[in-house]
Amino acid sequence: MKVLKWLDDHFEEYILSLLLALIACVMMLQVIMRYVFNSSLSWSEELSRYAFVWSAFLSIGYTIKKKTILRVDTLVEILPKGIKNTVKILVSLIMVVFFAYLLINSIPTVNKIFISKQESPALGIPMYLIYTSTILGFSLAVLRSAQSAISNIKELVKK
Amino acid sequence: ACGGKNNAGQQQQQQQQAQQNNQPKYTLQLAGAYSLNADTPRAKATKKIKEIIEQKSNGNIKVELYLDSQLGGDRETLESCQAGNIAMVSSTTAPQVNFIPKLAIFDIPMLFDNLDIAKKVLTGEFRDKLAAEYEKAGFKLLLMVPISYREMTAKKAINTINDLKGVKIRTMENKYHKEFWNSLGANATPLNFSELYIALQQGTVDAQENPYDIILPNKFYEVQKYLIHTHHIAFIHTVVMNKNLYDSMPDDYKKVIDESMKEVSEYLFNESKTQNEQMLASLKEKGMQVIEISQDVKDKMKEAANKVADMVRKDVGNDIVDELMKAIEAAKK
Amino acid sequence: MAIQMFIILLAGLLLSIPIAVSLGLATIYPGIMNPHFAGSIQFVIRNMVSALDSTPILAIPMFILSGDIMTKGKISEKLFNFFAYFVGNKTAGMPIAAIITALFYGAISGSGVATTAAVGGMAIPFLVSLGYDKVYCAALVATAGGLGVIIPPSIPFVTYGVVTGVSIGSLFIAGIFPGILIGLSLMVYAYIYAKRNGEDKEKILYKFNSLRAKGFITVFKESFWALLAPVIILGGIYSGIVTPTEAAVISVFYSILVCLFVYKTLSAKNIMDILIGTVKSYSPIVVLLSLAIVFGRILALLQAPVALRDFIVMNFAGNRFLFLLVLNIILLILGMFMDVGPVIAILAPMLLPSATAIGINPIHLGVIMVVNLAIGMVTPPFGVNLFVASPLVKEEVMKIGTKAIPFIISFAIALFLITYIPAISLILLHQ
Ligand code: NA
Ligand code: NA
Repeated sequence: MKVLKWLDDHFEEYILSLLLALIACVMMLQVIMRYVFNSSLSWSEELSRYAFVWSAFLSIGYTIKKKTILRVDTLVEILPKGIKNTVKILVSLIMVVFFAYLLINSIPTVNKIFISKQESPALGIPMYLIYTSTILGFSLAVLRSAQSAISNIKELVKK
Repeated sequence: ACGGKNNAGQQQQQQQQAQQNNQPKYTLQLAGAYSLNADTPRAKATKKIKEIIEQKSNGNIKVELYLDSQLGGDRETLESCQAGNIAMVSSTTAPQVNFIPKLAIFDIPMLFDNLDIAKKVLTGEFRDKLAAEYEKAGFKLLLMVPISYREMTAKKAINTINDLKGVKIRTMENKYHKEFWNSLGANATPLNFSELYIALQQGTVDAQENPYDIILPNKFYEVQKYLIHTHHIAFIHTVVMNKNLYDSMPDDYKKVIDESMKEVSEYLFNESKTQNEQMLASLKEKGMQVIEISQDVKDKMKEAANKVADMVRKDVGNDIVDELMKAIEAAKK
Repeated sequence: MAIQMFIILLAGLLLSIPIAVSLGLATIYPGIMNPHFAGSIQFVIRNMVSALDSTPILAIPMFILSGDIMTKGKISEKLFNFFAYFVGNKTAGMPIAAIITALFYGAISGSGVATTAAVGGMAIPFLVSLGYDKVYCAALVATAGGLGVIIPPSIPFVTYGVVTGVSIGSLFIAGIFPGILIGLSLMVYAYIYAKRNGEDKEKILYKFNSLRAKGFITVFKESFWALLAPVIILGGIYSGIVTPTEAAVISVFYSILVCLFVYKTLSAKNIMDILIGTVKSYSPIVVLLSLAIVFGRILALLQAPVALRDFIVMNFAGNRFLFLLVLNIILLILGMFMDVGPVIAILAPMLLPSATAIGINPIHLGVIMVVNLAIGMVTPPFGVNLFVASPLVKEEVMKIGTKAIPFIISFAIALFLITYIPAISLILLHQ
């Protein structure tokens, strides 16, 4: 249970931090290799870009969980409390549906790229590995939106 | 904000009513990452594709042009074409290698002594073999024309092989190109194209390699003094179509497309020949100094090219490379 | 269909649906309504990935990270101490110093978001410590961040040059005076704001006097390594050691080394916390940026830019004054809802012929479009610089956008001058 709780709180955070550190180190290595050792790496740019793509999709769920996802609250804030809570629940349900729709469609999308056997230009990584970030990213987004929907509903019921 | 004729709502209706009215039965998107407005052979040929197909089909096939990376770069649009979202993509063979590995053969430098030989190879039997490779990846090969060569530009003069030593030359993210320049003593530096102009201006890299029709519209002459006629890799322009879409079309429409592409191929090849001269002249006029490479440099380049050829053989097998070499020998006669 | 997309986006924003989700709903809408439409859901998903598969975008997390390190390691404080020693007691002295910093960073980075991230990370905490309202600081930095695309180097100028065939070098030169003019007009408003709203003189003077008490030599010694940071970054770019994108990562490692070994303001165990902090700041932005690009591609597939071009050309092509006015208004409105970068790529080559026909210089047109783009970055509800600034102060996008309106007006006044006095852009070229 403790493990699950820790994962729930920190899973995305740690992976995203590590990816960020990886991007920084790889880019720095590229500069050093080119300037100091006069030989360029061909894979560095690609690796940092793909790490960034992965972190982008993992970050969706993270921003929902941490409530840092950007939104325009101005109008909703001035509504009466009852309506405001209803809107909140509605919005989190819309988010569940939206991300679920993306998730369902990301599977055949990735599958097509898997079948095409497309490879990345520098590293020769199968491209589907990069696109798989959408499946995991949207799954986490569905999970995190559902969690927030449930907590919004609980809050309404309590009152 | 949308007041014009091409109102999006109307466009959708058009598609629904296509069967009953004289509206186009097919709307084909053609995407490309090069500039449509530049006065280059590729841009002109692309406009011709639209014009001829629409005219020959009596308006039953409509071609919509999306150039200037409107729908994304080459890799992205090829992917969308393969998946069936975009009907046609116009690009060189270079970005297609990720989808059709055997196209790496065209990354072997110093293959074609002149563009006529390249044209013979790419219209003969060998082309059918390539077309089969395209089909395996879900593409119908509609057009394949060698239009020019990649040439080196640099901020300092390159006269001997020694001058190349340590020169930071920007290459594509392509291991064969990188190997070629490194084995010539240069320092191949893969860099994103969008950063290339600034990198040349500020000296992050000293040199780059691209054909005239990229050097000119991207204004590399503003930041590069020398144009070195390396002719190292033929620039092969193609148009591909989603194979399923092509196969699903009635035969008379297929014929319209095939014939139009044939016509444009001839046009593109001839237009490139004349305009390459003009582009070279205007690069000179803009102040670039042209250096013809010496026999010694050329020999060294062939040696380096052989190394790359071995790499390619290892990656895609001997068969296709041997067949290409045979086709080139035959075309030389 | 394009109009319906904008309506969905607006409705979503009003309902407080997250901006990324509102944009996403608008983007997938045409594909859902018309199963034959090229921009299907799978097209959208693939393009969401490939839009992020770009090297220059990496500068954003890197500049935010270096900003965080500089703040936590007190480099930015020492950097601003140096400025404060000279102008700290003047009205609006420090906000103006922040705008000058943005001008300098504009000469490093080619993008508005990177400039906002870099300057925001350094300047906002310092200004807040002097008692300035944090929403005001964020608005100031987000607006000044637009200078990143006007002062050369500039990615949108490169785009404009490539699609229209105009000299990129000339565009860069043409951007210098407009950039300075905009910087000045922002400073004017910062001064007016300080006059009108007053400043926390007590805090500012306390800071100023304590710096003066230390004496110039001590302040300079303390801030030496911090002052070296911009020198190294600028030097790295202009000597050609690094690309502008790589400059961001140089600033990361330079600040880590200085904080760990020279100032000893950080220890290795702080680094994980800083990484997590950076992740918190940049994570809300990335998917939004990618969706903004895909949104533009769907609009292109709907031929919306062509329709817009036809509208402008058919109605206003004859009159130079009106043409420029309408162009500005349309770009400003578009800028409120989307990232105008892709729109420039599509609209510029189509508008250029009608512009040159009525005597507008193509370089001038490029400057006008890019200045509009820079304003669009900070106009609410959709402004990428606002999205970058918002997590930096943990305040709502609209709040910062509203606070930025007077800055936007100053910016627009500068735009008006730039639009109708071509010499501001072109004078350096006529020598
Ligand atoms: Na800049
Ligand atoms: Na905006």
